[in-house]
Amino acid sequence: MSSITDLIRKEIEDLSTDPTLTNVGTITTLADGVARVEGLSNVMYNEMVEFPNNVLGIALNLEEDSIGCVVLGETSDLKEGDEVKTTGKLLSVPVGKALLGRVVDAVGRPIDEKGPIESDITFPVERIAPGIIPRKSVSQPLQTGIMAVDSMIPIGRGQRELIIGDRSTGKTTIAIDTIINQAKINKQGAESKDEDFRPVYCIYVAVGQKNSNIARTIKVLEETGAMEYVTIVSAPAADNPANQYLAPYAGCAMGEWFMENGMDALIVYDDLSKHAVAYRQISLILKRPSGREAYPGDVFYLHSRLLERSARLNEENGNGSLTALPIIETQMGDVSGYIPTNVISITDGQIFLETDLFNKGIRPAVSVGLSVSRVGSAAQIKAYKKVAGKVKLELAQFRELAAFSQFESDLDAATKARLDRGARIVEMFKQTAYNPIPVEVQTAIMWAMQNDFFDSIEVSQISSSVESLKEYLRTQGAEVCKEIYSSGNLESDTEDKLRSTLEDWKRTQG
Amino acid sequence: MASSSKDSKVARLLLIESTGEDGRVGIDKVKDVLQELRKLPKSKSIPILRNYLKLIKEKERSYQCLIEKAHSNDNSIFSENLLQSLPQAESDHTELVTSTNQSLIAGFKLRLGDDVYEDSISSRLNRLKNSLK
Repeated sequence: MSSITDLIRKEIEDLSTDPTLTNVGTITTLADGVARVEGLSNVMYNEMVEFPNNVLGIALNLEEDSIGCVVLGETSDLKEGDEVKTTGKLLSVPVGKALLGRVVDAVGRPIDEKGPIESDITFPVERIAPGIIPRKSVSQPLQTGIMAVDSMIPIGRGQRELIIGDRSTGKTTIAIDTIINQAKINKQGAESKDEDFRPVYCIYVAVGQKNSNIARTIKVLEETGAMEYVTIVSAPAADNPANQYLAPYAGCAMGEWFMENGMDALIVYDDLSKHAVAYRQISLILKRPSGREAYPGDVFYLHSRLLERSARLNEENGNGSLTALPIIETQMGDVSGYIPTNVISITDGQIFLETDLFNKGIRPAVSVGLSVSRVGSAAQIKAYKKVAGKVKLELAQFRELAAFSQFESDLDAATKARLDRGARIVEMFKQTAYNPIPVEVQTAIMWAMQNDFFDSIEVSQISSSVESLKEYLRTQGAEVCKEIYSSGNLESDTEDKLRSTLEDWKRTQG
Repeated sequence: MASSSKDSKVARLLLIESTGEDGRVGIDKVKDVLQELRKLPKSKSIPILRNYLKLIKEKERSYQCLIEKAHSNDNSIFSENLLQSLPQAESDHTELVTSTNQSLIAGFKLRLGDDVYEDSISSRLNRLKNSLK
């Protein structure tokens, strides 16, 4: 009891008794979450303003005779004539490790009923991206745990890799798999007590999604034990467009804290198509001039200033990184739409998911031809580089030949072999959701494929054989896998051990 | 009858025409402006008039110092000196309007243009409430 009275006494003692000066204005119109305010002559662009009942807003449009403010909260209690005050502050969100394992809204307030967030550090949501000098080229891998991605479209720490595809093609699943894999690696690293180990913390920003989908994602992350490394920023479809517009910037500020403090972070923006739609809605209500597809003229800047904040910093600046996985939903597989082309041009590559492949049961439905990582093999460990080098080419050749071979009955032996190899690789890459594969196991499986261990197995049986090999490597081949993981390379003696392990496995297959 | 940016520009020019050397709006000048506006068709004059009225109100507000006191007999806190010490207040032209607002509990609230200076018990209690949240 005495501690409470002490606390109140301290607050009273610290309370400033100086007269206050505030700049005020009056609401003249209020519609669709946007208030037009007269007055506020000293307001700054992007400054937080305070409406009655502690409702906050942001000054987005500074015009000659009025201010356009988006309201970040309940608007039903506000009315014309209400007083609006400036706060002299930019919109900021809490940052730090206290946010891990929490679900917050677009302004960083907890919505998971787990109590207040114990963080006294805040970062403004809008910040300038790191310049050229503090940056470093991407060189360290960020394992997604998805074989098709890690082998053909490797992602590095600090990279921006777009996940693009139609609805229900597995875009979110790839992002969630990546988060789960980071959590697995983090736990493994913590157990190994390796001082050089750098965990990857994750931020998942849900924009304009159904509440049920967000709840499902949280459930998956909790069930897989990944939630302790994840912060979820939620701005569902039911939220006002201002919150949907701000959520990615808030999440980015949370990720930047890790980057600027020498740590690695991963941020998923799910998805930026809905973010652009929310921004279009705000812009149209603010009566900003509209351009193509009614989007405002600065819709490119909307995403470029967000994604440029993901970077890999050099040693002098702490060596931290922020990797971004933005998601874009296409309509009927059209990648030439306005928002998809914008984001494609900003990012360092894209993972394109095809509906046809998904419906054929090839999951993850990664299109080899349209997917690319502009960082390339610089973001792969040496061992993986050795085994995955030719896969993309083999698969691309397979797709081309498969199209032609439909009309050809009599094929030469070389073509048949290529088709056969391609079909096996496709089967090998099939992977169930939320089941990422560790990099050392992926390396062993790829090595087995490159060294013809799957050649005598029926194509239809490849998936089950891969599962059996994974299990065998986990139990009998743990030592060789550990060797690949710790050295990051495939030395000749490791290769010999791997060969002997695989031969033993082959014998168990009959 | 929506007003365009052109109407707003015309209203601004009319405001300049209505302003005297001291920066205040002159009643005779306003009458002259209104006389001229009457010559225009209503569809044109009404949007201009709407903007003109808004600008006149704004201008007048900037020369008005609204003082709210907790009690009508409370003269202890401020005096004419207080007004002169405020940076924007040009005391020669500023009109002083006082009123009573008991919700302040004690102290005063002064509004000059868009700026509000406040030193009242209710504002201190509000600050304490926010800091304890």
